[in-house]
Amino acid sequence: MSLDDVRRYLIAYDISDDVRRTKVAKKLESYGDRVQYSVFIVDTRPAKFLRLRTQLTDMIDEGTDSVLFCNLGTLRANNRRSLDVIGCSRTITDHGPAIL
Amino acid sequence: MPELIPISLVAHQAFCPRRAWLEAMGEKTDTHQVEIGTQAHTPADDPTGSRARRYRAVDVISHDLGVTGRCDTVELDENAAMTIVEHKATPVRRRPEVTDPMRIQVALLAGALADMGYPVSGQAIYFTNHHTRVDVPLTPADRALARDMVADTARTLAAEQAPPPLEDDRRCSRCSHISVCLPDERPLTPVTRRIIVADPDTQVLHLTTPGSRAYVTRGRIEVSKSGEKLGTFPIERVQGVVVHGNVDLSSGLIREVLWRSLSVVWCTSSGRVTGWARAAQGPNGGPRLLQHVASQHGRIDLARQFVAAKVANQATLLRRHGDAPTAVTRLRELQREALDSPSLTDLFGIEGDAAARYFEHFLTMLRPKVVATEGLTFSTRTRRPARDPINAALNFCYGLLTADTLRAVVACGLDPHAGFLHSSGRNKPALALDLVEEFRAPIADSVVLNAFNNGEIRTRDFSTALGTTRIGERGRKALIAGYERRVTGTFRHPIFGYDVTWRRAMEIQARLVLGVIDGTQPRYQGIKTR
Repeated sequence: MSLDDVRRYLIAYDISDDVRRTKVAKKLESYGDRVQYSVFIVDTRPAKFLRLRTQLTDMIDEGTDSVLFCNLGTLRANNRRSLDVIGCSRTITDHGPAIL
Repeated sequence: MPELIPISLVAHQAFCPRRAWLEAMGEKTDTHQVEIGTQAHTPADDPTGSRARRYRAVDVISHDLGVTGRCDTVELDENAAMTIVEHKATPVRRRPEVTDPMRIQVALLAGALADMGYPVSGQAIYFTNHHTRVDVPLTPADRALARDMVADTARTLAAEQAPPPLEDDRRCSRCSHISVCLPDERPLTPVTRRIIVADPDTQVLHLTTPGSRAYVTRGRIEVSKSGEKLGTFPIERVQGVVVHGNVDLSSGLIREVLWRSLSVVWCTSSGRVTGWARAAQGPNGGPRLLQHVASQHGRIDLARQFVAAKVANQATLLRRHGDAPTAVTRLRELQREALDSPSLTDLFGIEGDAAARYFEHFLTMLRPKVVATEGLTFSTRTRRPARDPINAALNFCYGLLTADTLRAVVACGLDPHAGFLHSSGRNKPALALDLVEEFRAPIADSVVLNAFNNGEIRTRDFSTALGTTRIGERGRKALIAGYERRVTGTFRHPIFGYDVTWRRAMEIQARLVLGVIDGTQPRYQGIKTR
């Protein structure tokens, strides 16, 4: 499959307020997968990433909260050096056939 | 009184008349440029951001010019004279340059504001990415040009037919609507310049577990059965939903999918399409009416192409995998006959003749060892009921294919019911079935052959009762997986010469049909694999 401009992002947040944190977590869950309590993996094209970033900016209080975006590069490059997890790992939605 | 025209449409008209048409027809694309453009306006689009000497999001209207619009920012000087500042996002690598469409846009905004009785002293463009403000002085010639452009826009919108795409124009490479406009595909020749249409980062979600229930929770589609969670999928990654058999969908899920202008297709567990849901809002309402007229009058040229491409692809598949050279030769003859066929009746004759010859040798395309060990038989194509596993597998894959062409037809705003080969009077999704024809052999038949040849499905995945063969749950999942791998895989497009996924190819074909209907496409050509 050609997913040339899809990039993988690791997104983590530090938010003290419960309401804002829940909102941000929900938003991130709709785009990607929760791999740890405040750490998400999101695979997306640039347009969608920009939209997500704006939505998160509107949700947080920029004075106290922070969201960290780490660009892990294109999906193709990532398939070769996949994430390494010790302990119980959670699944990341893959890009193959989606059957539930 | 003539209808007022949005100033943004006039600016699109100045850029490219077809762009104005596509915007007016409701075509939307999800591209990086559009997203950046939207972001550039966000701070300026909020009236609460106004200050004492700076108003934001000021709506303007002028019956004299015949336009309505919104100024991003209006600044007041000491004498209350106003300066209009329009926000624009231009890629940083390009210079912050005021283009003609921008000049026309500010001229109309200034004209409308002045027409409302406010003193306008100047206008400027603020380039958000460059943080640069450029003043735009206007001459009477600019104002006259803007007025002419409003008239041109009105003519574009009132026309029956869409304006043709630009030919080999540099504007296209930075137009966000390239993926729906298809300027390079119009001549039906290899595309020489490279304009990249991004593949979607979304997937078609198949819901297959009998007795399960799907719903939306925390922004994800979740499926559970008897209180046990089977899996979840992020909603932003969904391109469409296909429901197989007895799966319950919550109303909230259906609404969420429609909100996103995506569609749901329901199939039976054997692959017959039972129905679909599409969003109320969609593009190309006008061309859809023309489609019904064209369907009523009949378009034998389209029908010929559907059949010729179908027969050609059957011949190619048989030549590649089978062992029946005489049948291939005959299919090639029939393919040529289809192109000169005088009537639909003759076309159906050719189609039936070709199908009989093709399926007569269908078993030769399977590996003899697989046929022997699995005890596969195939005498004739039986739709419903399926008499053997191969027929059941074919039925199922044709259903998947119909779901995909339905989605393609709906995405470009056409009506699946008004077809050109299949009769629209029979209350079937005729246009979707028309488009299915040329993809049967290269997608569905090929998926079935591969699945049997590679042992992904076996005879024990099927059950036969009272002469009807049914596919089991495991076999269904294996075929869906094989099918999805096929349609998301790329191939070299036989007409345009670029690499493209089969799923995108289906949408391009649907858009070529749209082009024939709205007058931009001189003729339709089916995909014939080599």
